[in-house]
Amino acid sequence: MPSPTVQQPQADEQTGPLELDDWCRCALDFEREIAKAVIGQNRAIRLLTIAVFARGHVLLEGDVGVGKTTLLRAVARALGGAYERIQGTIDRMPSQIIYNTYHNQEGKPRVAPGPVLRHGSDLSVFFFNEINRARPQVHSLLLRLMAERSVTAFNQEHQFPHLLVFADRNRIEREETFELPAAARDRFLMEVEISAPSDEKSRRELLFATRFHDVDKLIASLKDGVLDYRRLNTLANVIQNTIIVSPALERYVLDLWKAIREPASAGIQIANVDVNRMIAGGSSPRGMSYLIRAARVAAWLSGRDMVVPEDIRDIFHECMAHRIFLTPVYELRREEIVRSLIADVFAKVPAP
Amino acid sequence: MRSWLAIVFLLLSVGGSSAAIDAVNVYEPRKFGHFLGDTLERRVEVITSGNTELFTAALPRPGALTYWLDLVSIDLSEREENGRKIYDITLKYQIFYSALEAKQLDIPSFPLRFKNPNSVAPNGEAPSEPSDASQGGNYSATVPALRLVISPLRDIVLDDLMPEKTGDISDVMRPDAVPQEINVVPRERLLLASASALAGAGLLLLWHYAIWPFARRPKRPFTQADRQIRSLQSGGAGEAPYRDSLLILHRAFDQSAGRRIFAADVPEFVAQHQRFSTLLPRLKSFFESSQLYFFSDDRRAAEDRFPISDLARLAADLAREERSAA
Repeated sequence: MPSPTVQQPQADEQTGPLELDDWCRCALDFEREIAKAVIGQNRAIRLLTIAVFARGHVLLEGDVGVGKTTLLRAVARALGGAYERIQGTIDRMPSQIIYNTYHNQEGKPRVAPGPVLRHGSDLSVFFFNEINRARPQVHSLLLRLMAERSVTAFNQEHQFPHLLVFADRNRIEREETFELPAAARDRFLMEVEISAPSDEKSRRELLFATRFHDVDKLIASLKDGVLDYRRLNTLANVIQNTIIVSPALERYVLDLWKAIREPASAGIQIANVDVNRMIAGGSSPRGMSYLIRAARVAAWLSGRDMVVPEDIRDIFHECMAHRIFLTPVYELRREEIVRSLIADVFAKVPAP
Repeated sequence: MRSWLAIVFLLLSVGGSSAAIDAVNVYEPRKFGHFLGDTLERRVEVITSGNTELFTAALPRPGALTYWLDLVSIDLSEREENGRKIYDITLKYQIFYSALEAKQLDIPSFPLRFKNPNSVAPNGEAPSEPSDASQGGNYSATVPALRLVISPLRDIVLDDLMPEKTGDISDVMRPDAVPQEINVVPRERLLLASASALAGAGLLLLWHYAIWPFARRPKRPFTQADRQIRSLQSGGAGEAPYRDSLLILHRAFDQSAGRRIFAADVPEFVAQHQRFSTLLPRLKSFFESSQLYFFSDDRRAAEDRFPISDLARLAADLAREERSAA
């Protein structure tokens, strides 16, 4: 399986011995810091932490007002570095992301760097709100930004070695929205679903504790830069090279992949679905290799030096569900079908 | 009425002799009019005094005496009266002689023997007993033979009672009694019922232990795993018996739960299968070692931590718990 390489044009500013154990404690601190602002979302926080250490982009999905933006802002705050946020709108053009044109006080036209370029290579989190409201042209720009962590502007290539793209979209409306192209979706490491916390205690606190009323103050109360974002690329490489993926696990992942692509051959059965004609495509090699990256990080966060099938199972839905493309006849029931497909694949494929 | 016949062996002691055989009295039945199958009784009364005693062990024993006569029983009782010992002997005979005409036959005589007959033999000896007691100081008496007249049965019957019959034996004899037929149907039914109950119980037992033809019983995955692991161990086949045993047991867990069971699922699995709760620490240890074996480089450590013998024991215990849970 080809292992994905992250372009790393700039050397890390700081070098030093990387103790994985110390960093693991750091990562758990990072999670705890975020959990102060976003309660009842421990799983989403863990997934975002995995994404941060796997250097992968994340798409959040969920209802309105469940805390997607707050969560991402909390992550950006705890991560440190520069943070930019734009809102997806139907009239936003790709160029507006890169530069602004305006008239200055003298009435002369001026060009200034846009949100992406403003912070130079320090940009660590780029947050795209309501990504499905932006036009496909914007999505294309995003494609390159995500895949190569670079854009070309003003006849110059700009690199963003520490960049993570977080995007969100709500599932309520479909009017005036553009479905993300498959290529763009495939570039997200994870698609995380956020829903309101289900336990009584969190709900009560969320509604009645005054600190949650003012999001800006809440985010500002978090410790800034729990992690040093500039060392994360190196750390990610160390993690990927240290955590063991055994031949047995490789076999298992290959079997999973085959079962997802050819469900009938693995004996998968889903009610009212013809599994032979269900899958249109997807579950790309890139997706599978992202999955392994994330699984290594998950194993590391669990304090293990080897990836076990539980790690794969834990993150499989978030890493793979958005990469599975169904035939149009089943697309409307997508959520339900993909969920049972994945559940059945894990019930049927033997590990090891 | 049997005739009283006193054949007296008069053994009067002379003078002051202190011990003696005082008398042997034989009370005989009638001597004629006996038929085939009749029984008759003779009573013998022996009287001794002093320290003379009848040697009872020398009395005849019940059984066939001759081809035509059985001694059916012999009863002996003993009492004391006025310093004398009186022995009452009752002999019961049965005749098996089928006489065609009246015939005389003798019940054989038999001797009586005594202990300490230290008296001097009297002059008047028993007439039938020329005793040898005079030589050794030992005195014996004899119960004499009894001559009987045995009468034929057939002629009487034929002539007097059944004049219409011929002399043919098949005509004379009563027909054989029809044997009573024993009704075996209930017993056959009982046998059938118990046999089918036995077969049913046997099948249930086979089913319970998942033995052929239920060897592939889906609800006995651990029993099958236990068997496979044991045959692996005994056969020594396969290049990696430890790996194969791990896989077999994993598949058994999967089959038991209906899905793939990983180490993280063990507590949930045990919660659903309460029977295995006592094995929880060993299950955890098994899954941890299996993780080490398959997913890390350290296969040696896995085998050291959870050796194959432990694995076989765990499989056996799981199989046992699985059976007792059913």
